[in-house]
Amino acid sequence: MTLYFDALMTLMQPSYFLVMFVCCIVGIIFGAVPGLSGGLGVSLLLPLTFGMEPTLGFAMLIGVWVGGISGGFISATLIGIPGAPSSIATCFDAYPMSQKGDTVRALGIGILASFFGTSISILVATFLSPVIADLAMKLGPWEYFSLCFCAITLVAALAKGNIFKGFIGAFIGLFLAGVGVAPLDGAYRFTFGNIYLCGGLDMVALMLGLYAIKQVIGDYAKGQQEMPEVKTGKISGFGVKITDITQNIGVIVKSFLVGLWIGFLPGMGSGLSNMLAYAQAKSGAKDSQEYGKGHPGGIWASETSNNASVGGAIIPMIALGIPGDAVTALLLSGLMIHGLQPGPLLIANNPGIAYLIFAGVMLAAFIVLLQQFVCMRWFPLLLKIPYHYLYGVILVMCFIGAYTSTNTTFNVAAMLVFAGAGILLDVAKIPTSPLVLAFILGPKLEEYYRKGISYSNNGALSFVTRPVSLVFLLIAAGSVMWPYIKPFLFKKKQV
Amino acid sequence: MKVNKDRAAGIVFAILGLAIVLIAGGIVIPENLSEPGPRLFPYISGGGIFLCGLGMALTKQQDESSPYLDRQGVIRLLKAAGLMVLYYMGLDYLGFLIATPLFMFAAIILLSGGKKINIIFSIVLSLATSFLLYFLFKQAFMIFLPAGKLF
Repeated sequence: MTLYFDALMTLMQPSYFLVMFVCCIVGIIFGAVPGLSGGLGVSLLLPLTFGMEPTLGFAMLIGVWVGGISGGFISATLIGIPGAPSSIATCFDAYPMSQKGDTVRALGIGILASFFGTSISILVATFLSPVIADLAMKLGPWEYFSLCFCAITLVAALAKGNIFKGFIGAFIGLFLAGVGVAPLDGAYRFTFGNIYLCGGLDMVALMLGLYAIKQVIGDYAKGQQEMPEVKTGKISGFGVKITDITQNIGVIVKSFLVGLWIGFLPGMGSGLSNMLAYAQAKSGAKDSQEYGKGHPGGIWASETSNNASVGGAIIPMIALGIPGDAVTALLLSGLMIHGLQPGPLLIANNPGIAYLIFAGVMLAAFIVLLQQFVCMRWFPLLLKIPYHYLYGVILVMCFIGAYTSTNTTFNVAAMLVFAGAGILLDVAKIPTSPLVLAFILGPKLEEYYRKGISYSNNGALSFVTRPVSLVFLLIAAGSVMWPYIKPFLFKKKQV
Repeated sequence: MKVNKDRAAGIVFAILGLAIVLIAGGIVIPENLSEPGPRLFPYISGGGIFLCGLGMALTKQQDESSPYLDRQGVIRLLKAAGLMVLYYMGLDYLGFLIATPLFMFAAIILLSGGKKINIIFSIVLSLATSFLLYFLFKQAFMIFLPAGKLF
């Protein structure tokens, strides 16, 4: 507890608070503008943290992240286009409610739901992460290998339509992670005599290329830069009544749990949780026919769950060093850039940083709540920022980010290659999330596997003879086989 | 015969996977290793891409959806890519302070897609953003930005 309050006191220092305050606004803007997201904001600002104290850098990134997740509902409410994938389900009811003239109520519910989701989930993460980290310290390379393998498999198996596409993404990520010096023995792999490749491919260049540059070029090429006109009535007041909360308390609790769990699962995040929570809220409602026509339960479900995924994603990031989603993957790379080793030892070795992340998310939730209620009337202005100015600045930030990450223009070229590859993968409908996860976990996966073999007399058999390792491997196998088993089981039941 | 997009992509990935496996065969293995060595994971990733590529090519194909980009879209994509490559070269040879305002102004013109824009504002924004970022990184955070080979 002392560590938590120490971190909170650090964050309340004027310089830290000011940085967080500004970054929450930046995050809200990134979340609100369709095509941008809090994750993109984090990837653009990550290079700025290289020259900062790690604590200040993380305060900055957390502000953008929390603001970005919370801000996604603004465009979903005002123009019916989600600001980020995390707010797709918000459109279903927030936009119709806004069209009926209840804009303030829709925005108010979105703001409160975001706050509840983020603040309660981070409380859970604060108490649960040290417990899980303690348990994780009892595990060996066998269990860690199986855990990383399970995480990658779960994400790859989720690929829509064709399971092969998900696994191609994961294998490409694994291949890219293998470029450079091999772990344990230092052998050179796929460097082709190029000294810039000896250190491996850079995470920042990969993320900026795959997410930021690809997004900007892709949107421009598709001609998706026109924003519909914002038509709302006068926006003033608070909008939310107590009955809006009491009548939907069941939906709020269930959606929170869905968001927390989905956030906790590796590679999945708020993009999935809002849809699942909305579906369960609608299917469980007595007045389900009202969903999609401006039902408050729909907004509570979507916004509570997507923000609850923040806390959920932080648990595996802090306790196990495994990212819960793309943004936590970036935060993990930020930890590594600052010389910190993510994993179960993070809380023991660097409690200051771990608790600063917990306290930072909580503080950011309060700041965002305040900013959104005070600035609600100006939300429509956010959606009038011309894309060509915004994207121009973002492109320059991407180039700076790639350059400053390794101080070489080679890295800028690598970013452009990744962007091109990202577009080709989009054409082939290969998902990028398994690729990114495999790229991050790849080196660890290899290291744990090879160590597991070295430390044991049973060779590869030791991965299935240790119970915890076996459980993870069975979950991984189950996730691959489930789509094939499910129709069979379903058929049997029907007979 | 019309080749389905998924099938074509699957064949390309299978070839890529095979190439990775072949190149991985050339990785030097240190002597007296008691574990699988540095070739194993490249073999797994290459082999995996090869098998999944084959799987993609051989599974039942769904109907083709609309193309990713139309002809105009491809032209726009190439223009944007060309501008990025020019900026990359500009950073390398001219340095950040000269290349960035030029690139940003060009990017604003390009991304506006022919819409009428305020030229003066765009120039001021390009200059202001470039100098602000330069000051922020170089002076405030002591992070180096490209100086340019020509200067």
